[in-house]
Order: sequence, then C-alpha cells, then structure tokens
Amino acid sequence: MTLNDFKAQKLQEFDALPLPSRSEENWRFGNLKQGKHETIESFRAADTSVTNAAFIHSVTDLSDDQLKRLAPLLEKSGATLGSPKVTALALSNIESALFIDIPSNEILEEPIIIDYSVISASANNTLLFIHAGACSQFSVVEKYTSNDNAPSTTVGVTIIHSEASATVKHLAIQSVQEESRITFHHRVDGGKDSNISSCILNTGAAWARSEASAYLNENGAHANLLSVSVPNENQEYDQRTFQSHASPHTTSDLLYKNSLYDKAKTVFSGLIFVEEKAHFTDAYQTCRNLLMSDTTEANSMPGLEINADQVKCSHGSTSSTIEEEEIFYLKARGIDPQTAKQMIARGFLIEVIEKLSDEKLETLATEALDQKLAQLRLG
Amino acid sequence: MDDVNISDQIDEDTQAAIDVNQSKGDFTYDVKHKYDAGVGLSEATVDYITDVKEEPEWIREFRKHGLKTFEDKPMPTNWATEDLNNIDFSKIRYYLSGGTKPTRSWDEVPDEMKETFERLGIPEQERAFLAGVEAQFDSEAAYSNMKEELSKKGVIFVGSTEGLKEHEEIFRPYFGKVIPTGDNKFSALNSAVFSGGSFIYIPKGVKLEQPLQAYFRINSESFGQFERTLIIADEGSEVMYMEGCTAPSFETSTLHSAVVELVALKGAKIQYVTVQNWSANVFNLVTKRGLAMEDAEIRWIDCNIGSRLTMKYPGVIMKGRRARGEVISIALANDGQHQDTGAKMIHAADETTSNVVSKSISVGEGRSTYRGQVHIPKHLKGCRNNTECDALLINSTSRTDTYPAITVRGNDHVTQHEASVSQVSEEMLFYMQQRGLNEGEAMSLAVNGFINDLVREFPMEYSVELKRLIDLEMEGSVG
Repeated sequence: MTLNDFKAQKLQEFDALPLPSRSEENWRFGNLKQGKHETIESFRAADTSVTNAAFIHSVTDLSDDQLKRLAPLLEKSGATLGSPKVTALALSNIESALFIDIPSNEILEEPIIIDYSVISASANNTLLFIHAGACSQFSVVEKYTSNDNAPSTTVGVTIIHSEASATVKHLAIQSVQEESRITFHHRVDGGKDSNISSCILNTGAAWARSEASAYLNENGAHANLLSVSVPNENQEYDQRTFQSHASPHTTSDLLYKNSLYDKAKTVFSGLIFVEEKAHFTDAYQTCRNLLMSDTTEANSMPGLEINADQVKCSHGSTSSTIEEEEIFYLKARGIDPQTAKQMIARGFLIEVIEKLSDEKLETLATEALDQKLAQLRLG
Repeated sequence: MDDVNISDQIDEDTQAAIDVNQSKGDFTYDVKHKYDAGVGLSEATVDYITDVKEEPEWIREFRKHGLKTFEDKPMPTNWATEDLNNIDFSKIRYYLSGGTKPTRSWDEVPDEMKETFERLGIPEQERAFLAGVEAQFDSEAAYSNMKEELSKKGVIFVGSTEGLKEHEEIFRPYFGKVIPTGDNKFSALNSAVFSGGSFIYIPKGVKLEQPLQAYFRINSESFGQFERTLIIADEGSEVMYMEGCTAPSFETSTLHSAVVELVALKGAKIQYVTVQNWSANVFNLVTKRGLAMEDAEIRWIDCNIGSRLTMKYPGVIMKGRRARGEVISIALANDGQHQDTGAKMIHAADETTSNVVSKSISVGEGRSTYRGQVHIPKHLKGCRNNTECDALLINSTSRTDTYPAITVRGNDHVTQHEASVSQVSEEMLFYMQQRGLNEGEAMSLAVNGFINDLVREFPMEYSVELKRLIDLEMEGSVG
C-alpha cells in the first residue's frame, strides 16, 4: 500500500466510523464531551525536534526496503480502544509521520529523544512508527509540551513493532498546557523473545486519555505497560489498556499508578485477553490509586478474559489514602506532615519509573515528576 | 514442549468428573393447570394474572408499568452475552397455576435421580417434591413445631400474593423500592408477570436461630419462574433464608427471572442463601438487592451450578452508617453453560464496609464471568471494600472472564480488588495420586479444596451436600 492509499483509506474510515457513544464499554465512566472530538476536521503536525537522529526518517523519505518494513505497522495502526474515529483522522496526515528504523544487532547507548511542541488553538497530531530489528537494543522518549499558554488538542500515535530478541524502551512524557486535551494511541507488537516496555507519564492537560495495547503473538515475547499520573485541580485522566496473548509462553506486566489531588478524576480500564492456544501465559495487571484529597474520584475496571490453560493471570486494583501511621513515622523523625505526604507519594510513583530499568529514561521521567510535585507543593 | 498441556490428557475423565450432570433433573411431565395465561406476553396476559390472583388495582398498575418498561428497554447485549438474543419471549408461558395434582408416580422417577437423592441424603419428603412427584412439598409434618414458634414470635412468612393482600401496610412501602421496575429489562419483566416467591417480616428484636427455607411453605409457586421475594427484617432482628437445593431441580420452562428485595432496618441482619441447580436449558436472569440501614448487615451466599446462562449480581446498598454488605459466591460452569455472576456494592453512608469473595470453576467448554461494581461516592468517610475473585480452569477449552468496576470518590476510603486465575496443576495431581488417590478423587479433592473456605459459609447441611455432590460425580467417572 502506498502512503497515498493509506491516507485515502484513513479518511474513508474517519467518515464511516461513528462518534464514540455512552453505550460503548470503552467509554464507561469516560468523558464523552472531551472524547467525541466532534468539531475537528483536520489535523496538523506538532512542531518536532529530534536528538540522536541517526535512525529516524520522515515517512515520505524512505527506501523501498524501509517501506516494506513500515507496511505491517501501518496496517496495525488503527485504534481499537474507543477512539478509532479521531485516530483515523490523525493517521490520514501520514506524510507528517516519523519512522524509527533500527537495524538488526544495533545497540544504541543514548536514547532517541523527540520533542513535540503542540500548537495552541489547533488540532495536533504526532505519528511515530518504530521498527526494532532483531537483537537491537534502544530507547525512545517522546516529550509533549505546549508552545504557549493556551489550550490545544492533540492525538499522539506510537506504533512499535519488534523482531526477535529486540529490547525496546519507550517513554512518553506529557506535560501540555492545563486546559488542553490529548489522546494517546500506543500499540506494541512483540516478536519472539522480545522485551518491550512502554511508559506514559501524565502531568499536564485538562483531559488526557491513553489507549495502550500490547500484542504478544510470538513465543517468549514480553511486554511491560507502565504509567504514572499525577492529576490535580480538575484534571481528568482516562486510561484504557489491552494485553493480548496469542502464543504460548508470552508474558506481560502492567503497572499503572495514579496519585490524585484536589478534584482530579481517573478512569482505569484494562483487559488481559488470553487466546485459546496461548498456554503458559503469565499476565499481570495492577492499578493503584493514591487519593490525596477528599474530593478526588478514581474508577478502576481491571478485566480478565482467559481462554487457555496453564495460565497464570492476576489483576489487582487498590484505591486508598496514606495511612496516618506512615505520616506519623516521618513526623517523628522531624519531617513536617506536608513534606511527609509528598515523600510517600513520590516513593509510591517512582516504583513505576524504576521498572523501566534504564538510568537515562528514569532521570528524564523523575525530573518531569518532580516538576509537577514541586508545583503541587506551591499550590 | 510448547503446546504440551497436561489437561489435554485428562480431559475426558475430568470433564465427566466435575460434571454435576444436570440431565438427571432434566425431565418433564404433563400437568393440567387450572389457570394458564397462554403463550406470549401482552397487556391481556398481565390482566389475566391480576384477575386470576384477585389482586388490588395498584398491583395491576404496577404490572402494566413493568410491561411497558420491559418493552421499552433494549437487551443489554452491549455488555452482556449475545446468547440473550436466543430467548423467544413470545413462546413463553408467563403464568401457570396448579389445581390438579401431577400424574407422575415415584416409580417413574429415573433411577439415577433416586441414586443422587440417596447419595446426597435428601429427606424422603423433599425427594418426592424435587422429582416432581408432588406438586407441593408437605411441610406440615416436618416443620410444624417450627411454624408454630414462628407465628408466636410474630414472624410473617407467606407467599408474595398473600403478603401484598393481607399485609399491605408493611408490604407496600418497600415493594419495588430496593429494585425499581426500571432497574433492568428483566426486573421490569418480573414486575409485569411476577407470581410466587415469599414475603417475610421479622419483628423488632426477633432473632431466628433456624434458617427459613423456601419450601417450608405449602405453595407450589415457591420455585416459580417469575418469583418475587421481599424480606423485611425490623430493627435488631436476624434471619437466614435459604432457597434452592443441591439436588438437580426439574424445570420445564426455559426462562427464570426472579426479583429478590431485602430490607434490613437498623441493626438487623439478613443472610440469603441460594443454591441454584436448574437444568441446562434454563436462562436464569435474576435481580437481587438488599438495603442495609444503620449497623445492619446483609449477606448473599450464592452457589450457581446449573442453568444455561445465569446472570446474577446480588447487591447491597449500604444506606446507614456502619452498614455492612457481603457477597460470597461459588459458580461452576460446565459444557454449554455460562455463569455470569458478580456483586454490586453501593456505599451510601459513612464507615460502611463491604466484602466480595467469588470463586468460579470452569469445566470443559464452560465459561464463568465475574462482573462487579463498587461505588463509593463523595463526602463519605471511612468506607472499605475488599473484592477477591479466583477462577479455576479445568480444561484447555474452559474460559473465564473478570470485569470489575470500582469507583472511589474522596480520600478516606480503602478499596482493594484482586483476581487470580489458576488451574489444577500436574504436580498437585501427581502428589495426590502418588499417595494412593485415583485421578478422579484427586481432582475432586483439588476442586473441593479450592472452594472449601467458601463452602464453609453455607449452612451445615448445604455445605455437606455440596461436598458430596462433587465427590459423588468424581467417583462415578473414574474406572
């Protein structure tokens, strides 16, 4: 399929698909007013700058070989967790997409960092396709900020496809202006014995929805889906996840942590799906909410659908506040209660970041987290 | 090694082993009914039922409102199974009432069924009733002492029709209030055509030591298709109510849609025990909910073994401070069965606590589903919820799903949810077989072990019967 065909197909999909509606399970507890994106007719690409750009290309500038590698990623790029319509429109802007093409056995020491500056008063798209060659090892960071202090709309699409035994770490840091809305569509496809981690860190936006899925279709594939969110004031974060196991001996691990302040609201809805033949699957899913104010709202809908045997699956979800005893312990050591609470919340969230087990990514994520926590302290 | 699957090797045995064999109860016979509303549902059906039962006008209105709501509401297939579309509402008889005695004699009851009764240790009189030999279970002899004691204490224990006619002043304020007609499509259906079920009122401070059972009452409608039960426990009273039984129950109709409402006033305690073992062609779509006021406690103890599709999510609305709700649920889904069960916990007052423990076993191509809802609104303090759901998969074709939804607003609450899926491991079976158990016994022991801590929550005779039921089926299957 040529890029022009793809564009036409996506425009057609956009026209044909219905707007999201209340009867969809994917929008249970969700904010349809934000999610419908009714008035948007076209997207523009966010301003983009890249660090460590050796393997990153514009899709309009690819060799035949590269186009061949891109093709399966394009095919799987449609959204399935509630926002296919708006994602199709964003994808129709395919000429603005970037393609990271890492050759086999290539090991990158430094992360590839992409800075997006979303333009206020418009609908922005970011489209990133990542192909990890066999046995390659690298990490990619996407940073989302606003160009000025006015609201914007963004749809960010990141599709990762790995060949056998590749190790990929992906981190998206979202800190756009506080009245903006942003929708992420992240998908990872793990090849044989591959190991892919994908993490979203949310601090900005009035409404941020992330739809993240991991497809483990080959033996031995492993995926980590991670998320850290720190909403305050009226911020609303809506998280939908899907872990699909289609081959035996695949594993996945999901850890989403939210620390909620003021009138913040989160929705977590996750599903582990184990197909009939995917025996010996290990899949875990955990969502933890730390309620820091008495006006917050946390919704969790962890789900399991198991059709195979010899499977180890579990999900857990907790929502609670910090125990008085924990604060007392720190107070007894001379720390004021406000600082004590922040320390505990930080420790709670850092656990997710540490799961990336990559010092450089951890530093970047921790910096963004600390920035938000410092802001909360002032307020 | 990739596709080696231990369960494949023991498929047939275990399938048979865990099979509770609903076919044993799966027989029908002709009964001449005095009153028959005919096939299909219309205003005329509703009028017929009201006229035959000589009900007051407000019930006629209530039924008609139910019918309209039922017709207006769509099937909930946006979240529930498509199998619901296979129900043909125009082919169902909505009201049948006896008058003549059934013609079946004890000699005609299949031997296997007699054997099952024997092994389960079901009392003689109950056997006749369960096998359909007697349309009514004669409770007078067995429970007369108890009935006398009940009425001395002021306990009302009657059918729902009698309840609404004779005790309107207690019945009416609560009837349809815990579960409004429009709650869901099937509660609306029940509101339109309900018959049978129980009405129970426990006066202030009365604590019943013996559980009340559905078949205590002389009433052929107590196992009805569209039964409607309302239990009101006045301040400080305690009651345990049991319905169903572990033995397979015969059922000629394919749709069973009951509504059960519980009201526990200040400090009262209600335990509602259900053991459901309908034959495998029945759609069992039940709405059950309780309202717990200050310091009250409502416990649903639920076991689903039979039916083709069960959709049942017992709920507790905790409306008073320190109210407590609990759901304990066991489900066993075999070939062609879908046990879609769960719990709803609505916290509506401070310091309310709820607990949900659900265990399901999927055998063969059976599918079990857990759906839960926990709701803690704003401005409440100190609410707690614990949800655990564990699933056991016996065969490689078995299926299990979990879909909980937990909403917490405010920060002074604690909720936790955990679910796990596992299977009887090769090592576990090997260990037991090495110690001289055969495969069936080993599987039986493993399954009983899995649900053991919940079975203990059932009244003694039920838990013993449940265990025997599993053991019995295991033994027969291994040569």
